[in-house]
Amino acid sequence: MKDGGSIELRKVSDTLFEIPRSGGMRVAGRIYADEKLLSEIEGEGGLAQVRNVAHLPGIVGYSLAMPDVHWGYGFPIGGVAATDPEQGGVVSPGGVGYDINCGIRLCPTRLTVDEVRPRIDKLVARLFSNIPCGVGSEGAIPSVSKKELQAVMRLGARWAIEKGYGDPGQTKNIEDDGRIEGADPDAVSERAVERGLEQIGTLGSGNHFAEIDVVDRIFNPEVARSFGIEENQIAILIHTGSRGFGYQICDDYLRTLGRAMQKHGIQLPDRQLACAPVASEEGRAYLAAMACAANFAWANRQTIQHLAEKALIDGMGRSRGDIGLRLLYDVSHNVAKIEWHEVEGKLRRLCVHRKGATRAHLPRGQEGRWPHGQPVIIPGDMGTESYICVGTERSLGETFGSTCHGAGRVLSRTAARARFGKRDLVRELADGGITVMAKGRGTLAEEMTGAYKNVERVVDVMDRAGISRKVARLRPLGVIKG
Amino acid sequence: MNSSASRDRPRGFEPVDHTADIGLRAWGPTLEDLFAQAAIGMTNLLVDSGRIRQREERRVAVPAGDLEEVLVGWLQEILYLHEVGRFVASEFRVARAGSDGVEATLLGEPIDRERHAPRMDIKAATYHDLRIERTRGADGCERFETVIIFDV
Repeated sequence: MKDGGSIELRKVSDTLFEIPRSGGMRVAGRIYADEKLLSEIEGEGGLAQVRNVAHLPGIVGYSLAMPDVHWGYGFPIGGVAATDPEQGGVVSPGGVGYDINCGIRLCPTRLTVDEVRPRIDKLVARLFSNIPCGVGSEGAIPSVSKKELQAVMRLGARWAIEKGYGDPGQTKNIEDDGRIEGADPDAVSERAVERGLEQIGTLGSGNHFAEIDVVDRIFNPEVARSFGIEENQIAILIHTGSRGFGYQICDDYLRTLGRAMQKHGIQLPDRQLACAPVASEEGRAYLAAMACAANFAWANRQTIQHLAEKALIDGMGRSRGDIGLRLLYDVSHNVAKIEWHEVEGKLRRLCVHRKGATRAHLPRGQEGRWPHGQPVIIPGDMGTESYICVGTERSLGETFGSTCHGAGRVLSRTAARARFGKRDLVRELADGGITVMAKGRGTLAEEMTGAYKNVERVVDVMDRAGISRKVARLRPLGVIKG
Repeated sequence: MNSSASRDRPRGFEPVDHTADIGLRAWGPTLEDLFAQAAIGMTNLLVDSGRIRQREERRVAVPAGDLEEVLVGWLQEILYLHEVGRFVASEFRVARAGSDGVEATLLGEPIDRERHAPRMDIKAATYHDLRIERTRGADGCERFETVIIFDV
């Protein structure tokens, strides 16, 4: 797993490094980072994975890594790769991850920090009781029928809105309108369905969370204004994905595509990179099932937004209009999608994998919705700030319209438990002005600030590289975790 | 996290550190033992397994495949029983384990949060660097050994 310093790196610029093509690599690798982040990345296994991904049939441009890159299954987390189906390009479940359409949603409100701070403990307790979280938690909304779950798979966020969990206009503020085309429930196993029935409206555990944040800095007043973001404003941040439903689909298709590799004559350095041509029966089936899980995740985040809004209404004792919660944007950071991109002057239909990476720019032709660019939400870890950024046109040319997704782990969970496990973390965070409620005691230690890279440094690299610009910063006041 | 045995013992398991997630080393004199130890070890990561009573049985069968695929399939089966069937076992009687599949009987009981305090949520058993190897233990006897990484 270690890179062992054996990987040759060439400096392209202050924010970009290259792994030159060698051996079976079809393209070079490129890593966005500064010297400090690079030193954290080296020796951790992620670079070897950037190199492995460069072996994928039909890969176009570069095997890319964002500055938050770290070791993942098959693909590194923070990895971006586009393949061309016309050139035998493949789709790989390892390029999406187990938690399909894990993503982040930001909901600004009309509330200000002065109104919320005196009631923060009460509000966090409300969130904690409204939103099921933690290991094995069940849905706050009743378990759905199998037929209903098929509607979730096809409709995504719209399913939740039709149930009354949100307003009809909100889907336009979700990547892909909260629904990936081509979802086919018949491509999903019975087992995945069973795992999904009770998990809509649940947060899960690990790094998933819901937060009450305050906007504490504005970097770009013009863009912030266009996003309706101002200083001292309160916003809700939700981070979760497709739960057991998505994990099962990933697992099912790792097996299916692993077997299909022989049939299609594909050999790769790591079994977790199992893949099949996008145009093959197996590749198409995976994309159809993956779309079901992506849509499930959007229904999930939409439902949780509704539960969070209810917590604010009850906790503040004010009307829905007074709270004024709206959806700024919802981005996916674990997904593979068919998108059009210009490569060497030609528009090509590509399968873009983003694993622990965020779409930074709308596909060509849809930019009109966001004249300043699409909002990009980049969460920090539990004790630190999150960022609202805006994608640039330059990202389209360099990273297939992608940027970083978060901080990226540096300490293993076990090491984090060993370092922080004995401390009174709830108290320490409270002293720093953050109220935390978590189901599992261990989760807090695993998710502490020191377990992650510095998110500001990660966001700054992408800002300096001109891929995504900082707009505003969010500071957590209250957090709930699994 | 407690491990059940030192590596000198003929069969056992122990947690293994891993940057992103958590791993488990398991070993035993036969494949059946190895599969049982991996299952006990994983259950011990999922819940506080000290108070699981053997009140009910579940049969588990895993189809044929290469050895690693069968091991992943076996552990996924137990994860599924845990998450959807809400069942935890403390004994795994593995009648047969190999590339032609697994047949086993699990002895345990329905999950009771008070009794079996949850520890962590395991999303999946992965194929990362997964190999089942024949090694020789401190006692000089041959044994099967593996390290499996879980996505949490």
